[in-house]
Amino acid sequence: MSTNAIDRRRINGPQRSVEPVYLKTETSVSADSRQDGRTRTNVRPIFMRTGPLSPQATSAASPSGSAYYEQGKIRISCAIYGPRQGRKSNPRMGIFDCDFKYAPFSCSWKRSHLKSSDEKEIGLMLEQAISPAIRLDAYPKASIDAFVTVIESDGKAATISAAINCISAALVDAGIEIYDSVAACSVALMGSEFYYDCTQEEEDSAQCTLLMACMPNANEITYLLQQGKTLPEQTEKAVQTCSDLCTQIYAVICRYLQTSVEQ
Amino acid sequence: MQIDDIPSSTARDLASRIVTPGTAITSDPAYMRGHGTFGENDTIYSSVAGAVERINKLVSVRPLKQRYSGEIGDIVVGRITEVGSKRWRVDVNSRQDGVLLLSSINLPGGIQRRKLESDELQMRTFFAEGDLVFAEVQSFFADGGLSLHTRSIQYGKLRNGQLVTVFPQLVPRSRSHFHTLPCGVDIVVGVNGYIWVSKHVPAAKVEANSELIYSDRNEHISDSERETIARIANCIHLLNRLYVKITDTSIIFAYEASLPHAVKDLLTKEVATDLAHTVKARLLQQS
Amino acid sequence: MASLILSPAEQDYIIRGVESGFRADGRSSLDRREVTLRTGMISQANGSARCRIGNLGVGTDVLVGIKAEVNAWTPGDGVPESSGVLICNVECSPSAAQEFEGRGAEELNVELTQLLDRIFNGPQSGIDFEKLCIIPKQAYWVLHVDALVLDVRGGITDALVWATRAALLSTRLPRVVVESIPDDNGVMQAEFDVVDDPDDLTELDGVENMPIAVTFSRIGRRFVVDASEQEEAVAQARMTVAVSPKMDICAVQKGGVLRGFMPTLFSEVLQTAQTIAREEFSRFEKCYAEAKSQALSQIDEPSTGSTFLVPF
Repeated sequence: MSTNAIDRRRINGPQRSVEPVYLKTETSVSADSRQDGRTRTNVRPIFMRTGPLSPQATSAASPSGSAYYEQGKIRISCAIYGPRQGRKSNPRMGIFDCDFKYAPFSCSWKRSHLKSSDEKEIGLMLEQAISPAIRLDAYPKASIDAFVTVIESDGKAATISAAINCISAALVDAGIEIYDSVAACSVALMGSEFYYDCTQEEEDSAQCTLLMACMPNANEITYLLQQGKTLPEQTEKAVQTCSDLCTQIYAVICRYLQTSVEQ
Repeated sequence: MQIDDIPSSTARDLASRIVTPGTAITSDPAYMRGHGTFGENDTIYSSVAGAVERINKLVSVRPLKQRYSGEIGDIVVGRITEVGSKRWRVDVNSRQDGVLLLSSINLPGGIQRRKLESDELQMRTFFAEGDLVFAEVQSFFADGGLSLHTRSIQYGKLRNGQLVTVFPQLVPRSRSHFHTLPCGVDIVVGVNGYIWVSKHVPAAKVEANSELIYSDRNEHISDSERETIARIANCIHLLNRLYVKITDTSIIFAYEASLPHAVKDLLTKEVATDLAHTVKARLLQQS
Repeated sequence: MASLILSPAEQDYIIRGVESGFRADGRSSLDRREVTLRTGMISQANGSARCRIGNLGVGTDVLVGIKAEVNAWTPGDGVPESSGVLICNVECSPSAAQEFEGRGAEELNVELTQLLDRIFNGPQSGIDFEKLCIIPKQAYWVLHVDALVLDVRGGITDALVWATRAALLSTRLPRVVVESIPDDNGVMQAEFDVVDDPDDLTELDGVENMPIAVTFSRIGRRFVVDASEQEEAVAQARMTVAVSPKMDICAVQKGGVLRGFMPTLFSEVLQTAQTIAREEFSRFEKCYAEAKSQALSQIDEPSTGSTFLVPF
């Protein structure tokens, strides 16, 4: 639903418009066939490309690094500027700043062009997930700014983990010193089983989603978020599962980065 | 606002009266105005809420609470907030940040070493943002800012302990602000309300190693030393809460009264109330 | 979370202290500070609570007020057909820290609001949202949970959750009477009336199932619970775990930008969270009972900060 306040800078739509309510179709989720034909433990196929926005990165105005990431229907683009002179500068270490934005057409409902508190919080989450991986003490007084745009989204937790993967790739493209790439994944609890990498519909009907980002080589969890109720054993199991999944995704990212450097 | 009209003021009338801002204190032209007062026509009015103090012909009003304002010779503990060109800005809990000039510090490698160009470029090797310094107020700048110096071997960077913040008005000015307590803990009581509690390091050791005066590394601190430091720190918090003057004597009284209790319990309501009675009684007894 | 810069020597002192199990104020890694709770001090609100975590009457201070409004249901609103809604908002007041003035606290407000929302808005909080629906597809209760952070001495999250929990427990809604009345065409329509009797109030259903939060701060290779201001400045990462009285995990959120958590440390955190939560629930019961008795004893004393002080 969007209530359009009169905004003189834009062409205004009607005062109030509502997302159409669709008839609920019967969707049965079983372990072997989900909506898109995957099994319970399948992650959506990943595609990525680095450097689409900055082929030569010649001028100071173009991003130092960029990446485009796809995972199923999720499409995310990320541009990294920096290290450059920061607005808030810390003489001991650099600062990683992340700006996250959903495009208004990216979700199944129309989003406002203004940044919602949701997007601000996700920006914070991405900072918390990625900062531990960057060698910030090598860049005192500098600021590394990441700008993430979600072109299409499918599942909030899945989109956030895709964003983390995207930023990791962009960081490598920018040549910024990092301890390890950060890989992220999400699982959702439906019934008593965890389903890997859920779409928006699946997440809506799940009783809990867990999102995790980690550095597989450094063996450190850089971000963890659980929404919804579980038993403690289930949380433990989910973290273990995500850890294995992240290692797989990490392998995919590394393989891609390696081939792109070789070319 | 004039509460009492004072036709002719006697010394006893003036002393220890509690006044509010705008109260007329005296109209006697023999008296001079001090801090916390202002004059209109011939009358001295109070500009803060507090107690009237009279020292000979000087009338001033001392408020209950006021930001620390430095005097020359004050011993202060400050935190470096900014590294500038040939100077550091130091937060001394006052109206303005204090300034520590490069020419006012001891350079490692001997007190008489001359300042080199490389020193100006490497200021962070001496003091960086966040460091705590133990300094003395040397002078004032024209705008009232304090100029500090650490040109003595006992001054300089603080380590091996923790900081406790108290109300500045609870720290009386005395001859010495650096004490070694009988329990084996060093304290630096800054007049600005910052108190540093640390492990005792013998003075001889400090002098022998002038290269290490700007080191950030702590010595090894044993568990018992840590416990004593925590106990003293909690005692100082307690004294601050009781609004008792913080001197080495009051700290020692509080420490001795606290010994039967575990360190972490010192800050709980029950134990703190207990200690409050004991310490206050002993201080009254002493005076 | 409020930034305090410590010297490397101070940081090292705190880290080594934590690693040897003896914190700067004498506590062990799992010891928490005293909590004072007061409820019902805002007469205009449907529920209110104030929580202070700290010693000697000084500490992290959070005030939560809950106001209930009735909203008309519209399709496409995002609100389920027969359910009420909880809307959280956290604001850090400049009286807590200088950097909170103007827009300085914006990021922190967003983070804390989302955290509170994650813990309390939804089935994981245990609150029966269906009972908050007045007439399905027509009207429902909206509970506005507004938190004001008055003072910060480390551990805002825990204080927020304590205060919100107490406020929701003490929330009283006016009773609603629903009747079916035939309209002009003879079709039965449901209508509701809010009973305007200050003594005829209902509690919220399911509030005894609400979770409590425990925040772990990673310092060095260990973690501590209920970090003080200085410890928070040194902490490299935080993990907040919300546990329900039945020991379910209702939310887990990592905070902090410097480092992450090792998986083994996280397992330990999860185990410890349950143990501590059990203790915290009984501590909460005690504090809440005390708060209720204070509120009932009808002292004509204004509920200012002085009620938290023991007359020293």
